Amino acid sequence: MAEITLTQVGKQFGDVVAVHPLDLKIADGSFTVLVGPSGCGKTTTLRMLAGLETSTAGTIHIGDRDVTALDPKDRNVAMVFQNFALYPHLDVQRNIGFGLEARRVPRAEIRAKVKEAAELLDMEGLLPRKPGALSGGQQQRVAIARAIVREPEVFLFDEPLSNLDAKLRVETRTELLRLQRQLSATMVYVTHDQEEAMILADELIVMDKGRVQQAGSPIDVYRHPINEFVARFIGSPEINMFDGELRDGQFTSELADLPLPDVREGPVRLGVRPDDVRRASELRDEHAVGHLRAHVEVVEILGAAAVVYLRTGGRELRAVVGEGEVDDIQEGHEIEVAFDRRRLHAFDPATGERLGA
Amino acid sequence: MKAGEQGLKQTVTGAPERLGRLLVMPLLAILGAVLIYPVLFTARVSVQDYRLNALDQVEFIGTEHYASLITNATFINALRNTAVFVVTAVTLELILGLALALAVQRLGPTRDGVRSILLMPMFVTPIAVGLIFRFLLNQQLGLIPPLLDLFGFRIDFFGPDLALLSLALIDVWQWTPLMFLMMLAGLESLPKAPFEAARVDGASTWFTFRRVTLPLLRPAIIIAVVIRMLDALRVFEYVFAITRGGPGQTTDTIQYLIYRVGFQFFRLGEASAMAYVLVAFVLVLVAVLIWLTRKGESA
Amino acid sequence: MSRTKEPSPVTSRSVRSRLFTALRLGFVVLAVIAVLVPFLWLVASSLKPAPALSAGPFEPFRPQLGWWRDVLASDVRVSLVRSAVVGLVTVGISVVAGSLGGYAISRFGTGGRTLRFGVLSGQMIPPAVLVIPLFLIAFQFGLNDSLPAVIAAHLTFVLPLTTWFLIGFFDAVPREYEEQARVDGYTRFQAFWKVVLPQVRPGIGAAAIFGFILSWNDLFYALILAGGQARTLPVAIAGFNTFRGVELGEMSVAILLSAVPVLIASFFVQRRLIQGLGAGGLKG
Repeated sequence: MAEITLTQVGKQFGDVVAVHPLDLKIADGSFTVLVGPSGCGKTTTLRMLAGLETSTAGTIHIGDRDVTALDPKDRNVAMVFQNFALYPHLDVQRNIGFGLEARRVPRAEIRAKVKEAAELLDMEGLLPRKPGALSGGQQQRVAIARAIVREPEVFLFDEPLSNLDAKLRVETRTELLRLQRQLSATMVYVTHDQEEAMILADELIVMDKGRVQQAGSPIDVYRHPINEFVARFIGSPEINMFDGELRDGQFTSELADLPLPDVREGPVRLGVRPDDVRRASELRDEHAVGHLRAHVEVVEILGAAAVVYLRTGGRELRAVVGEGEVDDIQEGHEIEVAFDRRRLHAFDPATGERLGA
Repeated sequence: MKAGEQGLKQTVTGAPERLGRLLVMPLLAILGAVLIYPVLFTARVSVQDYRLNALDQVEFIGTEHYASLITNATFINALRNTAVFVVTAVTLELILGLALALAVQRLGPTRDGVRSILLMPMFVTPIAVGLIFRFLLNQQLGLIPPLLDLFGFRIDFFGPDLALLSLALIDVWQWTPLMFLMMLAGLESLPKAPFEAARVDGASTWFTFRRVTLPLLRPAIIIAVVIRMLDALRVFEYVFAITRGGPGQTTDTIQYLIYRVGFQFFRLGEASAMAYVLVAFVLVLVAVLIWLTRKGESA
Repeated sequence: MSRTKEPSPVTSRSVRSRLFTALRLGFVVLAVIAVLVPFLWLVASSLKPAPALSAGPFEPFRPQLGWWRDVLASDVRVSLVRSAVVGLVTVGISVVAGSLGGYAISRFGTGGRTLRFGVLSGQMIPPAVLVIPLFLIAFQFGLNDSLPAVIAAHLTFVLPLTTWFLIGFFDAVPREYEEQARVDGYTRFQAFWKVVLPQVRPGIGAAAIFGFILSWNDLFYALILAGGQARTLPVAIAGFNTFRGVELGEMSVAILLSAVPVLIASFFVQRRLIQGLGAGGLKG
């Protein structure tokens, strides 16, 4: 396993810059997730790591090797593709062993390693079958086994779960984590699903428009988004944002007025996550700011929690409440809510940059 | 083929069926007249002593023609020449066509233009191609022999040793483009993902070709080879244009022999029998094709 | 297992792939030259004055249009017209019968799998088998050495192929279009005319051109069934088959007259051809 260093790595297609030169350090043995909307450059970055795309700028190091000029096959990486990319004419056994065969590993050794990988993924029974006879989840396992068996320095995943149905996605997600811990593998994972990213990542790298917006642990990125994009992209339901003016430490807006220290004067965009919008009665007085009465429009019951869509001052406000609170909240009625002052986010409306703490 | 299969499964009686039958009638009528009836006609002629210059003496002779063919040295020679021609030409066309398809597939913007140029030979009428090469390879008037002279080679292209091979090479010039086209279509229809996986998995170019490209291309190759073989069996124009079966009988091919026997000697009964033997070979080829594709599917 | 191979960066991507690329390009260039040289030689021969024809191939010469004038004024012009007539009639019949039948086979499954694949079997029958009865029947009707016999012969390979392509093209048009049209109030025929036909028309065009080319290029049937007075262009070209250098110029012109229209048409057809091959041929 190895540490990965990208130094000023960028990719340009003609005039279009897909990835602006970026610096990344991926720790050995970590599960790093690149997340962002379509077209943000995450897949391109992954493919440059793999060697499937040549970078137009910068250098890539795996361990202490400079792999920038190397073909994928010389980089000692393994990749799991979104559409599995299994060899349709080979059975599972030979699919998994393909990379080893290509490197002239003796047949007995191949058979042993394939068996080992299959056992790890609980799929020995599938070995004689062909990809056409497998379900999506099973095909994905084969793709993962194929990667494992090569004992690479780095595992690369390109949205491997997007072709699976929801329940399977959750199951496979957990298995991937278990696998990574078991193998102490360095894994780089690309997804557009922020929930998946949050669950899987040791280190989260949020990308947009070809640039890294923020890198950090999931909880750090969640609690301290560095700009408006990250604040909106991470966290579901989406963060509530409203504009106002900050004067003399007081934030005034159409929606609510509240004190906001440590932020410069001028126009401010305030962000409050739905889970930080609470029933006024649930918050301790010293934590609650911005009290307002809001009209309950829709209550979505998720089970352990519920999303409440409120309307106040002509605007929508999203709140998340626990299952125990749901009985008191009825659609069509009004409730009193407040914000948790410890969890406010302030952004510059013009640049999107975070203001203050 | 979703729509088509729906049609096959449909068991609706009434309007669609009747309408279908009505629509198909012109097609069946014409095919019946120009295809089915003549095929049966030839079968009948083949068991008769049918000579155009002795039409009053036509009589039924059963399998006499067929029996005599077994010991007919000229016929056997023609079969052998045709077989050599077909195997040589089609093998070369497959190798060259596949190589060209692989090479052209990776060309960038020039691809369409290059492809158009490479396809040109197959659109020229074969008799013209035969005549062109007859002259191109001619010692006095041609292009190739003077070029070879520069290097000190003197090759008699249409002498007894090389004539059949030269004709095969002409076939290669004209029909490799078709093989190239079919291979290109086959290559483009392959899924891209496994090839990327192979790149990351560590397979060299040759390994990928041998273990991924070729196996996936197998059905297309089989069909292409059979299509070309069926066509090559009918080689006539090149022989007619250049060698007329000679020197000696080294380039006497089946279709040319049938032409000679049937339309120069007018022994139509005998020619019909020969034609039917050719049909037998075609049927065997097609049966092999079906068997090979079935084997590939179930494996 | 050798896990950390250390190939020197120089030998990997840049040098090796450039060598491969050079080889590939070289191969393609060789192929293009091999294809073009005979054509260029042909054009040159059609413009060389008689003495230049028997001189070496690398001798410079002054181009002249004498051969072109001679050939265009001769019987060859008439053969060209005959070839065109045969081609157009054959293709016309094939497109009509093939469309009607093909539509039925595609939409109603008429004749089941037998008919669908049986249509193509016509392609497999060697011309040697068909030419004899066609010759005899024509002989009996006094139609030997005439164009109708040739048209009948050409139908044996153009009709099956056209129908096969058309079945493939009809298959590719989702049923839902016609069903929608009929729900909207059109009759079956109107649905076909307004909805299906426009989508298939480019395919029909390509199949028609392809069928025309096959007919235009045929020698075997034309030679046997109309080798004398009613000769078509390929037969006329075959008539230049003597060894005198003088004929080479005229022969080149005749060949160019035959090849150039086809080559031009082929450029339009190619993309459709590949689609047709993929849809019906290779996978079928």
